[in-house]
Amino acid sequence: MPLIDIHDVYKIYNPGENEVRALDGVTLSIDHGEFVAIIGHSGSGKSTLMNMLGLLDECTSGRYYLDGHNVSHLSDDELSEIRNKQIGFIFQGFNLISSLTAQANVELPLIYRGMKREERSRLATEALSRVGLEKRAGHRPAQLSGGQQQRAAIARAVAARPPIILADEPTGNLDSKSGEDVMRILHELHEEGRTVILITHDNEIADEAQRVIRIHDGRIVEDIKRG
Amino acid sequence: MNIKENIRIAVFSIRSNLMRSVLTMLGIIIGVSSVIAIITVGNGGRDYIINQVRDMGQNVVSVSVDTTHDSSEWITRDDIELIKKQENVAYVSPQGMSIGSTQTATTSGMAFVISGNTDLQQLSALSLSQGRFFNEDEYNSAAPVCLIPTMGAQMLFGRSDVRGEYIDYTDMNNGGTVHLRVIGMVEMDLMGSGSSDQMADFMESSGLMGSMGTNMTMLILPSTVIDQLAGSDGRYEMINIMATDESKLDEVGNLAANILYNRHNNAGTGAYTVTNMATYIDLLDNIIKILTTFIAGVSAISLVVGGIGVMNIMLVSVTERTREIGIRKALGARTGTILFQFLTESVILCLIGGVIGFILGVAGAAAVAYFMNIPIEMKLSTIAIAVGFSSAIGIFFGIYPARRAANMLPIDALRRE
Repeated sequence: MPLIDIHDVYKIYNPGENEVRALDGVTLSIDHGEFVAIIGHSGSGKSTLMNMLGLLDECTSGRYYLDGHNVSHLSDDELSEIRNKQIGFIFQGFNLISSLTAQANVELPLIYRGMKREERSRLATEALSRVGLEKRAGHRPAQLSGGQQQRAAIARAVAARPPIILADEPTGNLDSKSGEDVMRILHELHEEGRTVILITHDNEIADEAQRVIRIHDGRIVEDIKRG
Repeated sequence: MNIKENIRIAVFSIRSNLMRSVLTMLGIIIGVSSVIAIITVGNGGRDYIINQVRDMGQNVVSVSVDTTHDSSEWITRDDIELIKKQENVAYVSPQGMSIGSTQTATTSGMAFVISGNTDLQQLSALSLSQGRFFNEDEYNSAAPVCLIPTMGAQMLFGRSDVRGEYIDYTDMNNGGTVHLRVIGMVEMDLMGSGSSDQMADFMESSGLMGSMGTNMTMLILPSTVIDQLAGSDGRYEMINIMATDESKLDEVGNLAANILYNRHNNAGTGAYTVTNMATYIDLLDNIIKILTTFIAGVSAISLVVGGIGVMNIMLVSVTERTREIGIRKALGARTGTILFQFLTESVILCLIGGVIGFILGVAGAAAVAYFMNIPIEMKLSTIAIAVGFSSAIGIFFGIYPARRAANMLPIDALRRE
């Protein structure tokens, strides 16, 4: 059974004459432990697909099975719970909360999971040290470099140990050195057995994945798996 | 997500926008403090006034003669004796008042005279600090004796116990003079109770002393002495009756009036008016309560304005933190969690404002009470009102912004820059 299984998914903005088909009948399945890159130009629909996969957005039509469960028509709170438990997000713009320290940011998903303070703190510290930020735990995002911020965001994504890591242009705002660090961590996560889905417009980055799915005008135009 | 976490986030957010938070609270602070001050001063003032009035005539009913009536219809000493014999009547005394000048060996001044029979002591709730009240014999023989408040003694003689001293009193109405011997000292003010300081304050503040340019005191004499000065055989415009039981007041008052109508053959003329102090106290109490409520209501409007300020700031906060809300939701915050977070923030904002307002209000009330020389009364209910009101405002005006935040789709919130 695939981990992610979407069938004939459409996302249509402004239905009617000026409609925009951000996703135009996408069918896709991703197995446990895959490292998938979804590549496309801006406006190709790759971000929409990522939001859909991450349960941040609802599709206009189609079905979505996550780990065998139909998640197409769940309530807001049910979706929040699934995101919290199943998916770790890494965004292009980091999306750290600026008023909170790195440690507090990493603890956020754990708080929403209802974890006790001590355990939360332990897991967050662990996640931060794994991305090499243990000495920066008390810093606010503004006191961190871009690469450090993205590493903090990765720590946040992995702290709760979700099976899926969803990374949207994670290197897009970083210099090449920091970008390499981030990619290395993603590889590590993959090697640990997590499913990593990487959205990018960069062929070089995409080539690092085992499987590359090319999207254009809301449709999948290429799906290449490599050994 | 527990409540402690929520409160921490809220306090953090309030602190990180300190200036804005303080300005927002200002509305609540002003509203709560003015409501508290008004209620506290109002309650204290009401109790003070009611007590003053009550001391003057608790359990006392007055029967007065309409002044347009002939002096033959006035109340005589025999009338008083008869009324005193009635059932449920405890004390009866004429209530005479006159003004005149005083002269001692060293000073001269003015006096406000209250005169009555031996029952006057009980009827006016006079408390003796030294000496004694005039007795039956002195009353009957119109003995020239008087009682004086210790404060008056201070003014006339420079000391507080002046028993055995003499005061010459010249009545302003009839010009007659009497050589009075002081037999007792009373603790009283103009209202008939409390400390003499209050009388001094009153006289000073009312300009009574200044305008007379002289020492003003009160004297208490047997009414027979005043009668003698006036050359009258003892007819009075007003008597006070104390009943054995407060519930019998109206009964006793009406009974006295009927006796008077019978004895003066003037039934149906409406010559006598019965005034029960309790009725006045109730009326007064109601008027003050209504006034206090009204003024408090007016100042409560500022609470509403303050609440709208809180709502406005919370809306700004929601807009500013749209992205944060999106991130939180993406990471698994439920709608209720976000709702609760923002609601906690607005309630805490209002509660802090409420507590500060409460402290300022009490301080303000204490200051007013100090300068007006009235006691303040701090009720537990006032605290409850302050806390309840400000949290209610926090919830009421916070719920809309909080709902707006909570119901945002994570993707819309994340997209917002």
